[in-house]
Amino acid sequence: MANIMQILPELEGDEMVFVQGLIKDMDDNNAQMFANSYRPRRKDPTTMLIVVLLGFLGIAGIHRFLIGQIGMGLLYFFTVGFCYIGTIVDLINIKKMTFVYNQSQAQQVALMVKGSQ
Amino acid sequence: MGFFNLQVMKKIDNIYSLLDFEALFWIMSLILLAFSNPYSVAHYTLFLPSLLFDIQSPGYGLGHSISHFFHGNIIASFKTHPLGIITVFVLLRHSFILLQKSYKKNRNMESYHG
Repeated sequence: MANIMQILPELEGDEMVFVQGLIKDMDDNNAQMFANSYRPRRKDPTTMLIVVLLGFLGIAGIHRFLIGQIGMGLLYFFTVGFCYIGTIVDLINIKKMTFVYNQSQAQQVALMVKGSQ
Repeated sequence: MGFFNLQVMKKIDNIYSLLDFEALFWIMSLILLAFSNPYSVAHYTLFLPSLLFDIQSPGYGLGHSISHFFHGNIIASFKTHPLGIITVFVLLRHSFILLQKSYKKNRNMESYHG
């Protein structure tokens, strides 16, 4: 049974619990494969927070691009985060947004690992 | 009595899952703009550099533009801010996707817990 502390120790909180649930039935080989594929795909919550804060310096929307929301990202970029209002909303919501994105990435990687059996 | 509480809790959870904070925020903002007067002169802005320096925000006029759009003044909307109309559609679509995800997630959890 794979242990998250061994293969993905940098995970915290909800993300750690979620991924542990995904890998608990994997053997060590598969779990390592999962970690190798998931690590480059996931977005680190702290990095995302810093990127949101860039919005206050006038460079808004980068975090939206990072989680694949191109339309919103472009709007944010050209309107400086809807005149900061969007940036403030995202500041409150960034943790949840990042978690939802990481969840879907983790599920995709888990499917890939199972599919390559 | 305990069973009744469970049903109530489930219902509350169900409704709460639809209250995706971000989606609600955008929808409330659009509704607010739809009901506000686009011809009012008041310009509220959070854009600090415009207060400190003499520069105009690239998002200036977005709120009024959206308000014009909801009142049917397409040309006025475009003149006030060129991205106003696109913003409405992007925000609506984005909110819809968020609520859809939230609803599906809750439905899945429901069937899992039975």
